[in-house]
Amino acid sequence: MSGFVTAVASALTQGSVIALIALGFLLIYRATGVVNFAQGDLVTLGAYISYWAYHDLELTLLSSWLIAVVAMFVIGIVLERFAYAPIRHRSEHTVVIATLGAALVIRATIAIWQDTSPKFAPDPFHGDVWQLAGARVPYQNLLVIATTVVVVTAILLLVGHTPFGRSVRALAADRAAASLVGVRVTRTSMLAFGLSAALAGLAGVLVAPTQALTVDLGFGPMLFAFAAAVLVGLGRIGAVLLGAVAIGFAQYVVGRYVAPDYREAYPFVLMLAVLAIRPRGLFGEQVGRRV
Amino acid sequence: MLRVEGLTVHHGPVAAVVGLDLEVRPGEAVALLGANGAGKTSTLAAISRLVAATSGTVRLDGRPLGRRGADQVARLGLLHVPEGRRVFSTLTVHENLLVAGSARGRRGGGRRAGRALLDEVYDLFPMLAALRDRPGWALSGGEAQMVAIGRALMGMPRVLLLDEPSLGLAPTVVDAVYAALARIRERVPLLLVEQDSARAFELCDRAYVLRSGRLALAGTAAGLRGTPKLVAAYLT
Amino acid sequence: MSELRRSTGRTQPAGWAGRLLRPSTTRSEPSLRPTPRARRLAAVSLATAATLLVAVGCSRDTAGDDLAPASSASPASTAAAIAPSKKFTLPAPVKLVALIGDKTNSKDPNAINDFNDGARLAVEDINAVGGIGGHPVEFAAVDTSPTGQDVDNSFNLALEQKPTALLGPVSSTTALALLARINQAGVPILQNSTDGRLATDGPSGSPWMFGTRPRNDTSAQRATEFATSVLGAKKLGLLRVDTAFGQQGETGVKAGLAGTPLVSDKSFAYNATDLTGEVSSMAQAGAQAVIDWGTPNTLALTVKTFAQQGLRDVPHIGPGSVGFSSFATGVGDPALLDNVYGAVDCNPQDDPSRPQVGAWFDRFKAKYGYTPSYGSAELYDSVLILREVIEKAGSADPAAIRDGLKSLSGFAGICSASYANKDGFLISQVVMGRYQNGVFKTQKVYAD
Repeated sequence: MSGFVTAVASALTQGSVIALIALGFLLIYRATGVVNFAQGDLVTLGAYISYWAYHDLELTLLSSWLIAVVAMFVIGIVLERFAYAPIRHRSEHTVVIATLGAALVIRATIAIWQDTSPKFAPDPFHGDVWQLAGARVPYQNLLVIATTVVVVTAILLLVGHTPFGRSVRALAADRAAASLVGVRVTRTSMLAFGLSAALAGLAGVLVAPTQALTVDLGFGPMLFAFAAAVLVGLGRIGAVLLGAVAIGFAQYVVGRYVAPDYREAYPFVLMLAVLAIRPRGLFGEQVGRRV
Repeated sequence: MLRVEGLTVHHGPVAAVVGLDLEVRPGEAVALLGANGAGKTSTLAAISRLVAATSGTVRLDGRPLGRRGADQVARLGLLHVPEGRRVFSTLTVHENLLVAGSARGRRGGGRRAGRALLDEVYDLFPMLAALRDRPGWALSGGEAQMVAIGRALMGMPRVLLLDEPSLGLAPTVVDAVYAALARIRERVPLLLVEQDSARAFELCDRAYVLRSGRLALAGTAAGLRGTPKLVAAYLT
Repeated sequence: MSELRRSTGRTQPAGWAGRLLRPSTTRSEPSLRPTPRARRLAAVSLATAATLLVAVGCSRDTAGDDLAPASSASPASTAAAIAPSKKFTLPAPVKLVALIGDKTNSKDPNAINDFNDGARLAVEDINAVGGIGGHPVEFAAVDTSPTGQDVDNSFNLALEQKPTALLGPVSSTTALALLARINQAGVPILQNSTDGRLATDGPSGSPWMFGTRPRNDTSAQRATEFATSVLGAKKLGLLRVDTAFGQQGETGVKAGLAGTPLVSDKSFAYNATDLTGEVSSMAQAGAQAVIDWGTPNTLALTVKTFAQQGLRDVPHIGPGSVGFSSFATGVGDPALLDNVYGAVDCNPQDDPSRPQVGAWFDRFKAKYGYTPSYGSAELYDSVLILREVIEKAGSADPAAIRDGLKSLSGFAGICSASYANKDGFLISQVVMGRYQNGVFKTQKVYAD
């Protein structure tokens, strides 16, 4: 029983982190049509900024988190201006390669700045755990899950009910028509990159205390987030939460009982299985139309 | 109002429009006619910056549009209702109208102006009020055309470009659309691309006829209507 | 806390960049920003800053280091550090090339000088007593990384210098990739990885290749013996990464069990991010000590998970990477490391049984300004082993060196008191250490 509870806690934590990253991923994809492969390294960068603010600027933990999220918002906008805006009229492949390039630059910068040996990011609960049915679930994991629920709700409201959200959805539905009705393409794309990077930074500061802080922190979760987004069809932002949790469960609940050695591959197995049955993903009626 | 000089547009190596001059004066509705592939849609797309022109100048109120992008041009008040409606399929009818408010940009005041415009659009197309919360993908062709036109109106157009508003619609629906356009032209200058020349002549003051990307004929609607054979020769 | 970071920070070049941005030290290099473009500049500035930091922090470090033997009275220059060279004549100088990048020339932002500085110190010591065969020994370092064409390029660069022998590489991937080239070139090479596949009889062995670190499986075996005999564990658990490294660890653990039951054996991917299930299953199975054959990243994760799962009092024994000072720095909270052990090659900073190691440690630290790692000691020893072998043979002929290395036995070095060839590995000593207040202290030395 305690093993099952542990596995579910791991699955929900992983699902939450994936959801935050996938959400950022989708925001940029919907607003600009670009798949941003730098998303994972933005997660890592956010975690390192907070680590630096905490250890070197000696700020309190929560202010170091806040600083990191705000800094990531700015970095997202800088990324949009320098890595995306100059080439957005080129082919999608060029832009995707550019995001990969940005990812490598971010990663190398982190490695030079803070070296690649693992770091320990503290959590506000000093590693305390919640005892539930014999399992020990760190409070930090509960914080990750709770924050994600709040943030995902906020993003859903933002996208569903604000001018920014309508702009993003209009751009996603038909970029050309959106520009014909005057949707502020540049502002929306900058905001989407900024928000997306802030979400990545939030994921980074939240997840780093649950594991070791290394330059690979965000890369693996980004691939899982990609799988989650594809799983639900790169479409509705709300559905991605479901995809993310499904991947967390495949990895930690299924992975606990069936061939645990291969569990890191389960998310992709799940993604491929779903795509084989429904090529547009679980809720993906949009994908075919846009292409 | 709107003045186009020496407009040339290429699609790859093929010239779609060559050295076109045209003008829409205040209070005027102008038709742009021609056979399939004559360059009408390319002309509108180049004016609204949906595609880049090879050369030529477009002026709105005497000021060249310069290197502005499509969204910036729209915010200046040059609004283009594209061929095929292009309603945002994942947005509701109401959201389609709201999002188009962006085009008012700095010209068009605040919330109150937006609400007034919404009322006007719903007043112009009463059937849209009942469809307020219907998503774009669930609309019929006629409904979508009304949304597309209403969307452009939300941006307080100073010139409205319309591309084939009657295409693929039942005759009764076309009537309704043209009735609305007749009301719109009282307040907004129009540049209308249309296959159905009879409808166009009814609505417009003047017309340009394109053939293979070049200006073939120009004149008042009344004058051109009087030479149906000539016009027909260019429209087939 | 701050002292720990300062003293260990010196072995981590990249870490300094972050430190320099701290308000207290920014003044020395206000313009420094660690962007990729500024890397070379940064490296130079770092060297300057490092010297400053050493000057500032040196007295405090030695004061807090209760292990440093009192040998600093005699300056290194007045007495020879090693026995004089034998008088004989070689036709040409001995040239040693290390396939190991330095901070200044490596593509790896985390390159450290530990290895090459060990070799450099040995070359200097030898040249101070007459070189080898009447000539000073020459030394050069070539950057390598295990990726694609890089391996080949660096090997070509090394061969162009007509080396008498090669040192390194430190990565087993690089060593495996170079195997064919090494056999073809016929140059003796003292490599610095622990991969048992590189044993002479192993699937990737070469008569020209000799390891100067203990085999990975041997380390795991000693860790297991230590857990049962010294720590008294009656039931053992094993966590291991699912790579060749982890598999070799498992082989070693099984060889060292001697009847003690292995109650739980879990493997995981090198990029695992949540090992709660694996760690808690160790406790459920009743393991009294856990051998953890992971990478530095997974080890950092398991150290944290052990604490969260309330298993701090279960001894947690890792491989050599646990002994890296950067590992302790990363953990930050020394309390997390209280029950963490590591199986390292040697522990020059805490070797109370051999005073000459302490003297060497002091000389190295005074000269290069940082704490030498076991890698420094091994490279130092490698160069002296080569001198021994060449002098004994009276020739620097590759085959003569190879044969000399093959029959090496009883060589007393800094890392190991007794080097001897055993199936292509010259060292089989394993030192078990444990963190105490964030410092890695020797617990038991397994001489072979």
